Amino acid sequence: MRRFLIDLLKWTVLAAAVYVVLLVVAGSVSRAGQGRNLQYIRGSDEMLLHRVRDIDTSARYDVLVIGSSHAYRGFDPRIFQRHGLRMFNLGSGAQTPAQARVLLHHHLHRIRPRLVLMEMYPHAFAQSGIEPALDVISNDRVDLATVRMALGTRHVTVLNTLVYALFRQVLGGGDMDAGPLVRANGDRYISGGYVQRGDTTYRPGRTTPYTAWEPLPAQQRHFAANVAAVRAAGADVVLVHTPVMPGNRLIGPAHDAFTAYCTAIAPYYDMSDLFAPGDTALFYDGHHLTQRGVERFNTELVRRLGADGHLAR
Amino acid sequence: MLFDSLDFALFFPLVFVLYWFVTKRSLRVQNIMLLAASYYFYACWDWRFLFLLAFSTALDHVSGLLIHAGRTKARKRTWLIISVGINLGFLGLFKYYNFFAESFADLMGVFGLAMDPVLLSVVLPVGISFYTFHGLSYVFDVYNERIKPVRNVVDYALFVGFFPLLVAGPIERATHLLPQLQKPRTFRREQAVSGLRQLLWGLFKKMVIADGCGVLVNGIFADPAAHGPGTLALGAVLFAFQIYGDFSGYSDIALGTARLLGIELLQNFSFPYFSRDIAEFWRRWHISLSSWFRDYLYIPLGGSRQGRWKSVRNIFIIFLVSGFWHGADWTFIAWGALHAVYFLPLLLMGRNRDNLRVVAEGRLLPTAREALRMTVTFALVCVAWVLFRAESMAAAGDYLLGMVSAGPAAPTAVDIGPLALLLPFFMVVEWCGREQRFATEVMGDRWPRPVRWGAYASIVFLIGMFMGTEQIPFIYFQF
Repeated sequence: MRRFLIDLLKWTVLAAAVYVVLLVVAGSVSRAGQGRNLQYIRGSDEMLLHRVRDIDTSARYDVLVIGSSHAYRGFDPRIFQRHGLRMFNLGSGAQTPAQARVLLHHHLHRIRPRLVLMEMYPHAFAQSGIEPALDVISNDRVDLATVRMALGTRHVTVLNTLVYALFRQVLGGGDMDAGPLVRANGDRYISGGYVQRGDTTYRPGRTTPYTAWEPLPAQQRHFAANVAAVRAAGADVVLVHTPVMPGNRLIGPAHDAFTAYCTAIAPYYDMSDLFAPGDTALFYDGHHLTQRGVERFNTELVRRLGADGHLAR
Repeated sequence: MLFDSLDFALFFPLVFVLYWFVTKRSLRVQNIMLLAASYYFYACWDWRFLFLLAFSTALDHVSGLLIHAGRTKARKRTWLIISVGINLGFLGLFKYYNFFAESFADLMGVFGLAMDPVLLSVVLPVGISFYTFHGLSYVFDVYNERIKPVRNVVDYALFVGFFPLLVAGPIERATHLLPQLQKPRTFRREQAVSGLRQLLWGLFKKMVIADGCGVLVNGIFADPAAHGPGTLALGAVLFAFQIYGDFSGYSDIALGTARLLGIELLQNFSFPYFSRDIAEFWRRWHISLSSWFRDYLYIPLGGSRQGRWKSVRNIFIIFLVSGFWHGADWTFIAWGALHAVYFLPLLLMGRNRDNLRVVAEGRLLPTAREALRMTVTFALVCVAWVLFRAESMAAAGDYLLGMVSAGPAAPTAVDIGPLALLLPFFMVVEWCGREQRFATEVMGDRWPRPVRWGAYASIVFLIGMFMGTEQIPFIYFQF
């Protein structure tokens, strides 16, 4: 038995080493580090790598925005600038509170905002966050916070990608091109973290609103930790639900529960119904605004924030 | 709790430590611990069905004692009939009641008598077909005086409920497993290493081959009309690999796990896709079930020794019952019937025992004739798998017609991705190991240790890199 257990231990160590070596080889020879259960997509279309590299630490920002594509496609630093506010948008694709926690851990002290706008979407609390975890692992620094997030997903693709990303980071292989600033689909990266969509043809999506909200306890814990971290850094927190088409809204008792959850934590601006259902010229799909829509939404948001005294500091 | 889950990865090492380090000194305590672990394993699915398992166990245990104690043959037979009746009654109630009720209503509908049958809304208890057959084999063996009844209820309950085989077999025999449970087990390094190898290969089969094929198969079978004959044929072939990887993978994990505990279970698969005819296929596929039907149904019916007509009848009975055992649907019955049709010519020509030894024994490659016969047998099996996989007879008919309709012969619109390399790799390993009990039993034994260890570590990598990311339950759990 003793010999068996010792051999098993030795083999386990060897297997772990072989696993990492083969993973690195597979990632290196395949297209951009991708394979069935390895998705290292550096410079992805969510443009997180551009965002991370774009943070200007020479001066404090007034506002930091964090959230999913609703955030990085919905909050334009240029509009905030017109109102005298220096804003940075740290959104990432399908971001859930788990990824927000990692990004805040990495960049909150660099951005030093006075106000953090947390983009709120009910379904972000119901997702385990596989895709957004891959985005953050591939395009931001890997450290213990990243490892904790990856382990929380218990997903083999996330864990493989984490190992590969760590290897790239340690050996300096992660210093890759962040991709073009203008993508084939017309997306244009705007300094300050915003992504402006070129194509404005409206593509309708679902039409039936959601009636259930089933948040994961882990995501709620991450969210509470995020709010606490921001407040500990001396910034205010305001929660914002961006405008979406009716089919992507939450209605009924579930909506009330979500609203109650948000308002119990911080000031909450539910602007999901800011625009009428027929305002298809202001959306390019059920979730995202055209530039005209962003102009109107941001202007209205800054007005409300100012009126409520959140921009007074 | 699935074998390929994190839960099992935590559960089994704990059982292993308790088994070999904490409870080893007392066989009784060791068996009680193993029984408790097995019942916990089962309760992870649905604890309410533990009562059914416990009742079935108690019924067969008491039946064994009563049959043995019966003073006359008639009394013994009475207890046997009661036991078999209750066992099959439960199986019928949970698994077959709705099928019979609906089929009867359909039949009445043919005669213009509309019926609205009362259907049961019950979940099929996982493993009921397997542990019922365990129990039946025990009472049959006691009745036929092949074994003496077990007095220790823990030993008997462990025979029925031993967690590696509880939910999907192999269907053990009391004569094989009970003696192992009744005597102290000693740890043997070679046995444990063999168990680990089989467990690892089983995980590869299930997580990479079966689950990988399963995703594609689901897409093709969901809408056969959208695919040409080439793609439909590919779907049938992929399902053949899926079900083999799934079920033989499960069996490998079960056997490997048991072997790590010093217990040998019955071999359930022996490289069935390298069979040269259907008779050989059935000696190599789900061996514990085939031999169960052979011993407790086919031979009692007279086997092949009572004339040609009765032999044909018996073959049809055994294949139809085997099909029906798999599921309460006409598709499974048709699957069994088709295999009976495949089998009959061999039986009538007296060729059903031509290929008792493994193909190309002692040689690297098969002869052209052997290769051709294996290909034809595999093709026949694939056609039958369509019946097994289809949701209904109509769907199976559409699928089979689609396979022979006009259209692109080459598969289109299906990207099998890394399976294009993984399936050949899998088959090469299986081919190289076909003379052993499982493919990797002696793989690398002649290689230097670092190379051998590296090879097995590479299998771990292949699992991690290519396993499905959605956990798919084992197909045979539904039976």
